Amino acid sequence: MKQKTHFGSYLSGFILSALFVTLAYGLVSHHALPNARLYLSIAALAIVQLIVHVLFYFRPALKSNADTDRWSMLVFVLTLIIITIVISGSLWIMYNLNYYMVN
Amino acid sequence: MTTDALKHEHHDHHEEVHAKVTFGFWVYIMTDFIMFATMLIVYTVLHNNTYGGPGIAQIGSVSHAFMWSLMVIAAAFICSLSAVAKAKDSLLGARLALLVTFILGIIFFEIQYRELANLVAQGITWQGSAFLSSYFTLIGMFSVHIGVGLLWILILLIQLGMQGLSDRMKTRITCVTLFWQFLSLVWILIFTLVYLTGAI
Repeated sequence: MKQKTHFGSYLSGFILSALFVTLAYGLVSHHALPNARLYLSIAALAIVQLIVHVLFYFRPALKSNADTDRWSMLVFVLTLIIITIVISGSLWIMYNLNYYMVN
Repeated sequence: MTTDALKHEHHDHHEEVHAKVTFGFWVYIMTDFIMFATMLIVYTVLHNNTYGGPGIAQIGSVSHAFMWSLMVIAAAFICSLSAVAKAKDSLLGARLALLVTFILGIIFFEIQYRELANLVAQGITWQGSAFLSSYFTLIGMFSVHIGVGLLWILILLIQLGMQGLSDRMKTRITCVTLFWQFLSLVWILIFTLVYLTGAI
C-alpha cells in the first residue's frame, strides 16, 4: 500500500512560516507602521503562524485515523480555550491590580 | 485464515496503535503548549519590571533572534522530510533528514547556550529582576526542549540502525516530527512576544 507523503503540505508550511516571520521582522526593523498598528500586525502574524502550523504541519500526522482525528481536534480546541482563559485572566487581574495600586 | 488475511490484520492493528500513540503524543504537545503560553504571559506581565537593571532592549538582539527563527523553521521543515521519507519507505532519506535536523538543532542550542552564559558572565542572572527571571525561565525552558529533541533524534538514529524502518520506528518518526514542528511554532511565538515587541 502506498502511503501519502504530504510533501506539498510540509513545503507550503515551511514557505509560509518563513515568509510571515520575515514579514514580521521587516515591519519591526523598518518601523513601517505607527506603534499601535505595529503591535496589532505582529500579533495577527503570530496567530496566522499558529494557523499555518496547524493546517500544514500538524494535520497530516493527525488525520491518519478518522476516529482519533476528531479527538485531536477536540483536545486542540480545549487547549485554545484554556490558553484564552489564562491570557485574558492574567491581563484582567494585572490591569485591576495596577489600577488599585495607583489609585 | 490465509496469510494475506493475517497480513491485513497485522496492518490494521499497526494502524490503530499508530493512531493511538500519535494522539497521545498530541495531547502531550497540547499540555506543553499550555505551559509555554503561561510562561509567555508571565513574561509579558513582568517584562517592564527590570529593577533598574537591563531590559530586553539591552540584552536581546532582534536581528540575531530573526536568524535563529529561520534556523528553527528550517529544522522543523527538514524534520518533516523524515516523515516524507518514512512514507516512501526510504531509510536513507529518513536518516539524512534526522541528521540535518540534529546539526541545525545543535547549532541553535550552542548559540542559545552561549548567549545565556554570556549574560551570566556579565553578572546578569535570573536573580537580577522579575524581567530577568521570566526571561531566563522562558528561554531556558525552550533550550531544554531543544536539548531533549536532540537527544531523541540521536536515539532514533541509533534505533534506525538497529531495526530499520519498522512499524514502531515509523510511529516514532511521526512523533519526533510533530515535536520539532511544535518547537518551531513556540519559537515563533517567543520571537514575536519577546524580541519583536522588545524592539518596537
